[in-house]
Amino acid sequence: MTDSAPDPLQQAETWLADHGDALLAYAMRRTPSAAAAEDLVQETLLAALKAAGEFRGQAAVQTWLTGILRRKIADFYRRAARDARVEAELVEPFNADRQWRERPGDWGGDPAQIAESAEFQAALAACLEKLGPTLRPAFQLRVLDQLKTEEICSELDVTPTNLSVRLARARVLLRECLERTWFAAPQGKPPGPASD
Amino acid sequence: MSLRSACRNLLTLSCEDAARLVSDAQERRLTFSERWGLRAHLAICTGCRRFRQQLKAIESAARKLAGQDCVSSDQSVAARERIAAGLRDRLGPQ
Repeated sequence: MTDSAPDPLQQAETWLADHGDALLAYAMRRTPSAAAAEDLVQETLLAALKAAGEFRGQAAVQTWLTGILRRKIADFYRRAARDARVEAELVEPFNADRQWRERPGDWGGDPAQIAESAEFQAALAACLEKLGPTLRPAFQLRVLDQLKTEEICSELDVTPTNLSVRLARARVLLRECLERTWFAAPQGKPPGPASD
Repeated sequence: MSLRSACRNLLTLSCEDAARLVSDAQERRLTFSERWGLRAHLAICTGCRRFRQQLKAIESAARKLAGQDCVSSDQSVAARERIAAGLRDRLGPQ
């Protein structure tokens, strides 16, 4: 009788070789850093080994692994939300009357040209990382990955209205963050250390 | 009917509502009254006009970022190697 399960390490390495790229790409689009994505893929493979008995091959292996990864990503954001210091660095852009607390400044120039600036892109990347666990994936999936509304709603388990609120919120917060970190900084130089 | 709601929007649209519509306009076609409400608000609100312009820069820069964070094959090999090392730590022969 060959009851011997395959060596777990070998099994995990096979999954990694066959599906690692797809899992990494999936995780990187949904997490703040490459390091976080790698950790999540590793956790996914370990969890998959434990659950391998439940895998009956009805689903393709990659679909099954991606499902586990999705749950790992959801856990990751739940932990992040508990840390609760995400979004802490962002400033509320509207006052109680729902008008701009500070009127958006004149960035000058052509938006297309601004978008080309390496400094602007770097500042945007930094601001994106400050968005919280509900806003960041919404913006990321919509604008960076250009997924359709329905796909994002099913992925994040939200209604279209909810998604629209999150996207609007992400956009005003990003604008506000960019104004402080990129526009207010001496042009062409990275902003100095924060000096509350 | 639409005209009336357009007028109401003109009188009541806050910057926060206007910003939401500017954002929604990226996602879907606004309704008639939303469109006119927003147009009227933008006509009198410099801040929201700037927001709309700046959003173009943000969206376009974000799409450029998306191109950069594709995993290059070198990165991917390195990442898979790090993950494999982690797996060996956790599962390797005792």
